[in-house]
Amino acid sequence: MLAFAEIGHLALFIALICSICQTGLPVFGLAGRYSHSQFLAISRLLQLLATLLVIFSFSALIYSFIVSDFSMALVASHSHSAKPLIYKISGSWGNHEGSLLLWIVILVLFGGLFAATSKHLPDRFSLLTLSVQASVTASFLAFSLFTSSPFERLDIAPLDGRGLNPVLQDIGLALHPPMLYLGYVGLSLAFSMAVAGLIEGNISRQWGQWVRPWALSAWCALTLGIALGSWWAYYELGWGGWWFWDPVENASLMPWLAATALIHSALVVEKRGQLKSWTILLAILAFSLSLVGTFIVRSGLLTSVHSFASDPSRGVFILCILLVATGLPLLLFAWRGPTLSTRSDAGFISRDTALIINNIILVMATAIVLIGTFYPLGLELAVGQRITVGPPYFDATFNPVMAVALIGMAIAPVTMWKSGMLAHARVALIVAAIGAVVAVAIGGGAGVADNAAAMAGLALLGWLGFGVLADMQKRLKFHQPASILARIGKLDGAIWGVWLGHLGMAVFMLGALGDGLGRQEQTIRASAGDVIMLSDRQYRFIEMQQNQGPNYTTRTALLALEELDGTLLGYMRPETRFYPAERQTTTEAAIRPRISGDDYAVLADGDDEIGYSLRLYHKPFVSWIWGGAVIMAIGGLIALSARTTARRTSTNIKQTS
Amino acid sequence: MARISARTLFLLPVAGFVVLGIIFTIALMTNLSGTAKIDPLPSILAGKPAPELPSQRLEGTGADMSDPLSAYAGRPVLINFMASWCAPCRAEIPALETLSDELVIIAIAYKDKEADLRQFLDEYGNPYASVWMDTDGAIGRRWGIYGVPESFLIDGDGIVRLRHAGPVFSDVINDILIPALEQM
Amino acid sequence: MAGAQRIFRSTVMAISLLMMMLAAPPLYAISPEEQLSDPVLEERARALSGQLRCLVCQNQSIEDSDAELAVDLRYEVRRQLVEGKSDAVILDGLRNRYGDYILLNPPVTATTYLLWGAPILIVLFGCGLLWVYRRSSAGTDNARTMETLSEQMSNRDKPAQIDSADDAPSIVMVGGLIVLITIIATTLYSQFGSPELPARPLDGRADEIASTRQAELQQRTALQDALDNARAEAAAAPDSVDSWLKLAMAAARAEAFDTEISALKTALAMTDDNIAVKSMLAEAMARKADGLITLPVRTLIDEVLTEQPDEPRALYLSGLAAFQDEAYPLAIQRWQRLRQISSADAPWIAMIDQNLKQAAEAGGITLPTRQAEDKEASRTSAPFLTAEQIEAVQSMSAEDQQAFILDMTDRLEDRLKQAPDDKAGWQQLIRARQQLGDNEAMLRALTGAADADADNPDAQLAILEFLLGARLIADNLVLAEESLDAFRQLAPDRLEGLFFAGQLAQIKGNIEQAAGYWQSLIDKLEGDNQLRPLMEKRLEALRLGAK
Repeated sequence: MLAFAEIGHLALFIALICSICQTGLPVFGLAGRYSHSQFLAISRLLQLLATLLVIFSFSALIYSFIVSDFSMALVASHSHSAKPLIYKISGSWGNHEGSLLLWIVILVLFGGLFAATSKHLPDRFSLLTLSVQASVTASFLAFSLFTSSPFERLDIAPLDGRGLNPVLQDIGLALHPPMLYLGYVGLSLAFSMAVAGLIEGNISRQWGQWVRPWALSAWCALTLGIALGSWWAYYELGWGGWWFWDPVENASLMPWLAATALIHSALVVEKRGQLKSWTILLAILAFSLSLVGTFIVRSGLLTSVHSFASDPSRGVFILCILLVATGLPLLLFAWRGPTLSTRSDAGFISRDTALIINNIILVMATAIVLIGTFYPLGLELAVGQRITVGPPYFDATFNPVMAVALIGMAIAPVTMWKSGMLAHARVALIVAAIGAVVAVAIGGGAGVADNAAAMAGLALLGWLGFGVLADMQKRLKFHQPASILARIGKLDGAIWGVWLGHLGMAVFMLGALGDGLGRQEQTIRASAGDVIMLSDRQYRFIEMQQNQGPNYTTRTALLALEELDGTLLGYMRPETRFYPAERQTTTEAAIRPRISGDDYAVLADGDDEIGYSLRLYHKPFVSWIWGGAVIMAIGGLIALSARTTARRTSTNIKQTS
Repeated sequence: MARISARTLFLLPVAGFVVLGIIFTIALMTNLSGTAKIDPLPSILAGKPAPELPSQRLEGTGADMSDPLSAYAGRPVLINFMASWCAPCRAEIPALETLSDELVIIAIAYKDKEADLRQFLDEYGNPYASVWMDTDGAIGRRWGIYGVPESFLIDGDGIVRLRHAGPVFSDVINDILIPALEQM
Repeated sequence: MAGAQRIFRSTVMAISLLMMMLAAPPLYAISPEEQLSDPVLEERARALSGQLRCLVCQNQSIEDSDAELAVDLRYEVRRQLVEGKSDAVILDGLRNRYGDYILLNPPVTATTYLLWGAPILIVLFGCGLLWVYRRSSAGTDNARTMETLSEQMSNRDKPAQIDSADDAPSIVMVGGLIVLITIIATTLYSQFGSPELPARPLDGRADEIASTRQAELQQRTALQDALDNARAEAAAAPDSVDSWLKLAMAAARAEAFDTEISALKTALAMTDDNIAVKSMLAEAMARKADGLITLPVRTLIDEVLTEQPDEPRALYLSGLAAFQDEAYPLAIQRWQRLRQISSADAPWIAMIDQNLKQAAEAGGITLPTRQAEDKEASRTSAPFLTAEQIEAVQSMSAEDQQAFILDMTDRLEDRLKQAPDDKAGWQQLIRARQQLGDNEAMLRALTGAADADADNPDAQLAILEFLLGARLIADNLVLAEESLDAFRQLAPDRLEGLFFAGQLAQIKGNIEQAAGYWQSLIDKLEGDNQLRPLMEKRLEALRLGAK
């Protein structure tokens, strides 16, 4: 009986050949003997086939993990019979080979979705887009099958697997990669459409309309993916940090910045027929930067130049994909781009200009992150000197640039296309300015606005938050709640996307500033019975508890969190876990998340004699960081659905007329 | 003029990408060829006088002296930071033994205990002219070591010439230490 | 070409990092004791720590890291703060020791002008871009409008195409394509896939897993029991070299390397530096050091090879030492010599070939093709099972292990029949048979060894001990008597002779004689010898039984 996983392996090969054929189709299709539509039909068929095959293959892999088939090398080295089911499943993409297959799954999913929903697009354009998408799919399938096959088998199946690393058994870590990949890979379709447009040499305004939903959905996923990663670091790493300017984090931030620019500039293409070449460039760059991220993570190049790249062929293969997939489109862009450039007809005060400034700033920010991330590598190779580019560098360079973008975020929504401002723009901007002053004043009152950077941050927060709220107030008239629904109905749905996207940013800033400026910390050695004060509350150390988990033992400190007058707010149970089989100790921070801020307690070493080392934090508004990201993503989704409905309506009109 | 500059602008992304691509390619190749591992860590001490050394000798190693270097004035010396708890320090002993025919090797035991150290020397051999204790690791930090093993080549005037992080194997001796010695 | 070396190296590096982590007790960023009592200084310490990179971590500040070096540096920073140094002086001091790498905020130097200049250039370039855009928009609005209009017209000219059914590709063409794709893919798959391997979901393997675990446990217990027995025997017969060798063997099987080494050291002292024992000791010490040929091992190997240049175990180990020194030609030379002197069917041949291949690859050397001369097997023996083989055997299932050892042992016996003079070979056979528990075969091995080593009383003694231990004396009285005679001739002074003479007499029912032998044995034992009370008890029992 052929093993299920073997059929999955075979399916992956079929998908590879399908994708290769699909890549080649336009070469024949455009030569002319047959009509485009015939080739397009074949291309769609092959795309759907590849999609189903890869999904089947991935299911076979997950199945192998669920039933713990240790004759699969991947399962044997990354799973364990004693793992909870959910981590068995997530284990299938918690490693290089499996995550690569997940990446391909998302690649073909987007390709398949495009094949299924592109009926209204020109045949030639669809054919080319599918072909470019298939070429990316084929490259990654080949990468997977020939250098990192997830379906390696073992002649002798071991009795149990070796993958019981407790640090990796975590829900945040299980969800983070799929979400991030959804974002990374979603950008592939915008990329394919950009390259298809370049090959055609003709970008219409509709191109912006076609590409924007894909870019938007990818952007939403990327936003959530980055937020999940940051949230994981926050609760798992045990010192409450949430962003470290680590190369791996930067690798996900760069595509996000480029994608943010892309969703804005695609809007200009759609509404105004301008910025075409710029948008094409952004679409190419956004996906290239995703590839760069993949490359540096999988080749182990940046994280550990001085450690060993597991398998040389992998690094070389992914580098080749990166060079070809980015180099060729950029050359094509250098050749075809100039013919696409248009002349602006907008006034300086216009939404066009605002969005262009926004785009330029986002690209500048991307470039700064890129340089900060790769400069040490280049320098070491060039002169052999090792330096570190850490958070202080990015604080000094990235933050000011982004501050300008934040100023624009309150202005752009109240300007008009082509020229001028909305009628209420003046009011909105005055409110925003007042907001800025108020925020600084509140910060000063709370004693946190003690330096220029803090004051600037608070001012920006007030400016952006009040600016967006003023615009909402002007259009929705919250003070007349009776007719508010009618007004919402009349509004273009896309404006909600703008509002939520920008408001989400303000919420994020509130979280970041609250934690950055108002954080209280206490590191202390304490014993049962002690009372520890932290800002306006106190921790009462009740007792130490020993518990037995499924495959670990814990030491838990039972802490009562109280108001200063002794009113109980809740219990905190920070733990250290010891996994005897792996001889590994992990800390589990106790977090009491509230809208006004998180209480965060960590238990470290110690015993009854010397007391226990406790680190206690109060982090005002810190949850707003991730709340803001979620609001941004919701804004993106609303904009997306608004777009789809709008398109449906217009199509219907077209058909009826 | 404006047209030309516009055309050039469209070439800029390719140009930027070429730079990045070259960096990636070279980095990957260096990594693959293994030369990255032999590259010494940036040696901030090179060319400077050797910092302070410990004054507590492991009884029974080396002649009676109060300072590791005094007996070897005018001769090059290899200072080898090691510890009995470090696995690569075991692996480098045979190569150090070969090297000890040509060069005085002095061990600085980083955060180590005397008893453990003695057992280590019994079990794995002692290629060292003398062994000195850096019990709290302060000397190691003075020398800026990242961990153990790490070795520094000191010339006859007490100037640090070279630093090697990681175990000293025969290729390190042949490709790095011997050439450096010959240059002195 | 330096692949193997790199792998070894990188493993070592990884281990070193791991060791550095393991060596330190788990620390969780900053601990209470580190903090300074002065809040102002403490705040400065925090700020400084946040600016220093944890050098052995991935992009963490020492403030956030639990690595040992980070903790040390945090203390260092605080110590200097207490000394009253300024922030700049402290950062400078650390920079002088660790280089710019330690500063998370890269200092402005010649090599970082570009890094710090880049954002400024980027901003200037962005402004330039905006300016270019604005200037280009200064073109006539009319021209613009026309352009836009014409584009909109052209878009209207190209309405979205809807696929028409008659444009669908022919079924034959599509079907053919899919068949072709499947054929190519299946061909590729047949190169990479393993269709012959069945799925092994855990659910269907309960019995297999239970029985394997059981067997593993049994084997472990058996090995431990054997070790305990051997330990007791060695304690009971501290003068018998063989008992120590047996203990060493049992300890090796049970991976009690310290016991193995001390037993071998005892045996070595007793045999006046016997070459075979010495090489066994070398092997045991290497095994204890995870296969690393340490300096003391090297000394031993050198001694063995000086005396007996073809001692196989030492040859093997010296090859390994050369390999670890990356002296590949030497390693190849040693192992080829070993291969030459081994018989063609020696079980370790495959492994030596494997090693030779590795060494050739690592050293970039082409191995000479196998010559016919190799077939002319020398009769010198070689290690029965090498450390690697033992390891390989241990990963087998219990039945496979048994079968493997049995097969090897039978082959060894066949070879020894051809070359009955190989003393060491017989000893190996004995040890193997001992494990296998086949008494007849064991006796064959023991007598073979005794014949091969006719001058060695211990060989005779071994027969007697075995017969006694296995309660076989009564069935093999003739053999026992022959052995005893031979033993007493060879070593008239040794007390074991008296013991066994008594034993034999007792079995033959000659109680008086037996009592006489034992009495004289007791008389010859020193007063404090622990055997004395034992023998006295025995004698008493004998006399009581007689009554």
